Amino acid sequence: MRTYSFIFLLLFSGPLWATGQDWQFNGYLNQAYANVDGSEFIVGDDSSSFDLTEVMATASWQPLSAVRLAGALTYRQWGTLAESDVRIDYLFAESRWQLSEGHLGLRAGRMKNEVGFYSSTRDMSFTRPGIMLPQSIYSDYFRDAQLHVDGGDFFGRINLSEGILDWHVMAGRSASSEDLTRNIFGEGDFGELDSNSFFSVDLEYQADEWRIGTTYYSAGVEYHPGGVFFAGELDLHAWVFSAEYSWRWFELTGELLLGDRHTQGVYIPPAAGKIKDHNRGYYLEGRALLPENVELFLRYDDYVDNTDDDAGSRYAAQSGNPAYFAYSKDWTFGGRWLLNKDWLLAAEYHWIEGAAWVSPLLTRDPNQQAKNWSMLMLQLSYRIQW
Amino acid sequence: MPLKAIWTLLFCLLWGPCLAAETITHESVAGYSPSQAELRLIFSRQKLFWPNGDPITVFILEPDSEEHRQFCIQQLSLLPYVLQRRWDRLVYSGTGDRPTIVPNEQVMKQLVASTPGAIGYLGSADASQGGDHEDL
Repeated sequence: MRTYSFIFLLLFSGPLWATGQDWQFNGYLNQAYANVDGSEFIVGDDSSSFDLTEVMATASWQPLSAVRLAGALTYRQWGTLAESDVRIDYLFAESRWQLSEGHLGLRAGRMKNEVGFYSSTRDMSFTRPGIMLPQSIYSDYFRDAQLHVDGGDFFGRINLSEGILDWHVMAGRSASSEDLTRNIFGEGDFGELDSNSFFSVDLEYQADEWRIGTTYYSAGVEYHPGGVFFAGELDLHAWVFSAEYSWRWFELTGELLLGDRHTQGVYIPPAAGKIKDHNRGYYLEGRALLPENVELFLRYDDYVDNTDDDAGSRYAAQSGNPAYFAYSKDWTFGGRWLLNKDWLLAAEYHWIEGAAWVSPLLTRDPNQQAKNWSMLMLQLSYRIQW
Repeated sequence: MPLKAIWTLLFCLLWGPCLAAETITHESVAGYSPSQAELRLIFSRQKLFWPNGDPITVFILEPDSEEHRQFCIQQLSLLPYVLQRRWDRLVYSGTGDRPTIVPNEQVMKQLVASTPGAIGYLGSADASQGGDHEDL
């Protein structure tokens, strides 16, 4: 931590000693509002919340053409899903080697993972597609177990005739917080989840009209028990396939996640050994880019927690909870308006059936969660580009 | 009328008068003419080196200026905020930088002329006048 702090100080003191185009500073501030009907998702006991704030300051310094240092500090609170906290979002040193058509590079430090199209910039309202990302792929309850990776990233780019191919091989350990434990188990003394290893391979091709990507990742989480649960571990392996087609003022985006979950202990008695199940999520989104910097989108997001139990009947029989905790179908209609280069106003409405990604995952309360529920979200964002 | 021409016309009708936006480069890379697809990659900071190996330095005018809008629409066939979304992805994941924003065309001319590997643009009739730049 002390090393991180020192590098940060060095990076953000850039204006005192750096000159010209070798350093840059950027930042943003998002303030959102959520009103939820039929669930405690995000808002908790209240039906609405303003505790949805994201602030970020980034710095980048390139002392040599092949060497760069980059860092970002964030303050974030996201209702019941993330308690108010200041964190190092990323902080790494990077070295690049130019090839005849592209480059190769190595990063070391804390990085953001590159799962799917939006993971690495999921907190930035100007880059994410809405206020809340499609939870089938970018679940907020699990955000912590995979977003920040302390380790290395071997990356490269190949310039093709009409596009570019980017790839990353990332390995390390994800930096999780207490939010993860609370989102899985709920409030109370339920022990602690610790992130273990993280590994991912990411490929993305971008041309004029197409953007296509594939990610494989595995994330390991260790559980030190409390309450009624058992010591154990969770291993998650997932493939994410992404595609976006743009044609002038229209964009069509789809992503698919196919996951394997290996669970030992936690909510399974130790005698049962390791259980493997499969989850699946996908979304399809159509977006219109209108004049006056306005965007409108319609999205259908679908998630099944166990593909052998689509409708949740087996889950209901085993747990005694309603079957709708085993899946989620979310229709979202939303819009954004870029008021000027720095200000963005966004609004979206969700009609949701099912509650598979509503936290806490292992201590469900059917009295607080309806089968059909809805959510209205508003957000104002400001960005700074020094 | 070809489809592309119809779209260009629609862009112009919807987004105000069409000024002649033109790219300018430093003399070290003056002989090279990028395609429109390459220009998009260059101005979104996704293509970082010229074919001769020099790093590319990109200068733009204020992202909400009329000149920047005209340049994006005419030369890149992209809306400005769609272009910015591309470099925002690099900036906020930490994996890259955005173009350097300059306050006016005078500064743009000076910086492009004095920075090896630089590219920028001029949004008005200035582009066709001589000086320390090369039209692509």
